Amino acid sequence: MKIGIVCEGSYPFISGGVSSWVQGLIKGMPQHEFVILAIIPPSQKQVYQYELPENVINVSIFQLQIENKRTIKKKMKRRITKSELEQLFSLFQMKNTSREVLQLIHEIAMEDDIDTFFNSRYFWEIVKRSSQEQEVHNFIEFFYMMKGMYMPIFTLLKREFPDIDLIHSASTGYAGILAAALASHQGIPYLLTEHGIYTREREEEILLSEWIPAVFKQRWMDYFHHIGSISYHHADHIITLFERNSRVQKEKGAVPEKLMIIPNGVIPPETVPDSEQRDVFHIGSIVRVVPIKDIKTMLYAARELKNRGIAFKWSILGPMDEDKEYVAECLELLEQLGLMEHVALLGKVNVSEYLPDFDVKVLSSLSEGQPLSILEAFSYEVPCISTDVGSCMELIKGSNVDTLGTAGLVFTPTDVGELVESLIWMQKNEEKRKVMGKIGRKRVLKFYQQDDVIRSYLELYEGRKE
Amino acid sequence: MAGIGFQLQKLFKEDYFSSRLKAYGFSVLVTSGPWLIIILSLSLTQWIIGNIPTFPIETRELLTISLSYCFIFSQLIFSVQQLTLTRYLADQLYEVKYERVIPSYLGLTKTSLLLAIILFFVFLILSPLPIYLELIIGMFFMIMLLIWNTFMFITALKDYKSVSTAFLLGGLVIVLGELALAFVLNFDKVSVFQGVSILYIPFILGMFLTLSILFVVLSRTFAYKGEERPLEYLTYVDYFPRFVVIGTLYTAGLWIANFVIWFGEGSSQLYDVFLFNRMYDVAVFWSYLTIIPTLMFFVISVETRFYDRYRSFYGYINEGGSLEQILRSKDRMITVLKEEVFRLLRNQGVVTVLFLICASWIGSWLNASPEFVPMLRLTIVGAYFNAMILVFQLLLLYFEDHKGAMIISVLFFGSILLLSIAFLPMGISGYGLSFCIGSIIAFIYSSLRLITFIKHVDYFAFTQGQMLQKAKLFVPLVKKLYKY
Repeated sequence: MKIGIVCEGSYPFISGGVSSWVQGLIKGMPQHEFVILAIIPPSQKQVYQYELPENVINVSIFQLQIENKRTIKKKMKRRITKSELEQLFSLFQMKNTSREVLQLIHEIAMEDDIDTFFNSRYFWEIVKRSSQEQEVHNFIEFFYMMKGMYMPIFTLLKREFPDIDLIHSASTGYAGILAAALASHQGIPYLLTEHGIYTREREEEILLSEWIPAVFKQRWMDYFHHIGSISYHHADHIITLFERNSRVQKEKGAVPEKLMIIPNGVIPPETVPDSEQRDVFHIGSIVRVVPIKDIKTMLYAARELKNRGIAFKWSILGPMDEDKEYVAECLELLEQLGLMEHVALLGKVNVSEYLPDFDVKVLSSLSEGQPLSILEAFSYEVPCISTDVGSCMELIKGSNVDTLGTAGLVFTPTDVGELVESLIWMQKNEEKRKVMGKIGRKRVLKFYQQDDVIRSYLELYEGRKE
Repeated sequence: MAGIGFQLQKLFKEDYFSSRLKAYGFSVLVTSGPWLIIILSLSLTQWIIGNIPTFPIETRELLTISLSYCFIFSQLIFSVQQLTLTRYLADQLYEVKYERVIPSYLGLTKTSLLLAIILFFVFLILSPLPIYLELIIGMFFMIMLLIWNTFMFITALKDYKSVSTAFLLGGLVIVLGELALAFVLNFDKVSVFQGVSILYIPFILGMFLTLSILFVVLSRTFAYKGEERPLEYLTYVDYFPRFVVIGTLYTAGLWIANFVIWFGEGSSQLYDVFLFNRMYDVAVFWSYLTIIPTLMFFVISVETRFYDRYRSFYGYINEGGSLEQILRSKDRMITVLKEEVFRLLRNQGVVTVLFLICASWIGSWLNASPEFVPMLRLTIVGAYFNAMILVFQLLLLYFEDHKGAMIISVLFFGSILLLSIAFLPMGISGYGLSFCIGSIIAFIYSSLRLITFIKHVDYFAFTQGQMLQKAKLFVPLVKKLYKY
């Protein structure tokens, strides 16, 4: 079976939860062939962060073109009928998620230059009508906003689609659009696994962004909701990792019958070596050094620990090449706070070598899906302190079906005080801490084993084969 | 020519009769100053020397024909680079790079003189005239060319008073000089060539005076700060290659019928080099005189009233008006444009009809043969449409429809050329027909183009600015030349 996996801004060029998930999935199914469809911004460096498994037969790169290429103006080759124009208009009005409109965009994009369409009367008419449907005070900004919204979609679909048996996207958004268009074009099943809630993440970005004029923010959010609903509309199964996200998907319009939960999985070590007596309390964090992981909160907590005279060291493991500016800020802060002897940013390393050494693992993310790093820590009997985001609470405290007990502590995002108290508690209560670690490993063995995950997906893949 | 509008608006707002008169006077001089002065001085000179019984016809003919040649061919050479430079200059002034003005003026002078010298060499080879006369003619030719060049730069300055003074003084020197010569010179004692050479002196002095005044005004306004790269403007040929075609073919279209007819029935030849057609050339000259009102009214009505609306339309687009504001300002702009164009069509129509009626009177006043009057009527009609083409073409250039403007030029030139060749066997009775029909064809196209373009002008304003020509020829050359 040939399976297409659509990734947006992740595998194989950026490491992280989603990418590891993809890598694990492919590795777990050597009997199937995989085609990677990687959607990346034009600025993205194309360096593989993973060793591609042998059953990856192709990696297609889709660069999202946002800016205008300056080209000589040409006439549209493809005529667009009145009813087709209505289709497009309703898409641009965020009312249409149909198969027909996706095919139409695919056809237009295949036949003409993208710029030709966006310079055409058709597009002009659509923008004019759209601007009449709502109050627009600045037409030129509106015009370029519309271009900025839909040009990426057109560039995305300006491709021959690969011949595959099933398509699986790792998010909604542009990945979802590509998957939906491909599925409806080839008549193949479409699986969607959403780790974080894409539209919610974009929403936060938009609210924080400075380059989007305030009056257009709502429209941008509506836009991402809309392209999210295209995925929901076309996907045969809408999978997420945990209960909380599944509820959000339902709120955002996913049909309940399509919803499924398949958690993340790790491959736990056969046995966990007995930890030796350590002279300092060892804190570990397994995160990419990027703003959303909120490294700075950890640094401030470290300063507090140091001020209180606690003997500790803190190892932060994870790639540091994604957001150079943020990395520099963190290093500067590290120095300013005088933490050079306590905190080490170690970069991308083999995590399993460090994990047995940790007394506790800290995650201070502002947003998460179901972090693999917690599951990995658990599998080495390391308890976790994490922010209450994504499924972290469920992983640490359990749920209705999982009554194994507590495997760590949770705190409010950015709350340094809470984090410090949790760390001190962990440091002081060695016995309780070790119990928590054991509960964590039990939890992983029972609910979060990679083998189970692979089996669930295999059933879905092969069950869809007709 | 956007820009003269403001100065004129000011004059019109004062609304005294005198300033209104001044406004009309300025616009005549600014739009058609150079050739009006030349034609007027030439006519006066003709009239002066025509009244001298001893004056040999050959002298008069050689003077007139060679002057016309200088006039026509200097304008042709000028027209090759005119639009490119106008655009370059406008951009430099917009970006407040005043120090670029003088170097680009020098660059234009160099390149156009090079073209002129090449043409002059052809003339030298072909012409059996004595070398001193050839050089004199060449000198006048170059002066004329430089006047066109300088004049174009000066219009960007909007210093209309100096422009008018320069041309009036130059014209005055010519007329007074010729008058003095008429009294002093004894034409029996000199050869035809010597006579022509002497009669050229006031023309050269007068036009040189005009040129000098214009140049002083120019160099005073834009101090030369030593920053060089005179040929940098040529990069604009890469960006706007159509400007060359638009300018050259339009001007060539004005004279192409003459060039063809010079080989037809009734044409004459002076000294194996100057071809001309006594009847047709005169008809064309007279016809171009009839369209002066259009040139004048265009500047006044279109550029003052229309330009206001034009600016507000593009203002709403560029500075972010709502769609409603954009469409409303578009409607207002179109309304004014329609009014002004119709007024232009009507006003010029009245003048043209008047001339059509007076054609036979003009014919008898010029002692022309009976075929002259119908010929003149045809060229007057042709000139009418030709004036409208010019207006529509300028408007299309305002809207950045370079393609449309280019097609008009090609159509105008091409149809007149082909028709002239086709009608040549008809002889004298067919003269004027090609100019008339060709102008009408180009007029019809240009009006249709303008109508459809302006209907979608909002669309074009948003989608057209992004075209970029491949910078292949002059950009690398200029970069290499100046090493940057």
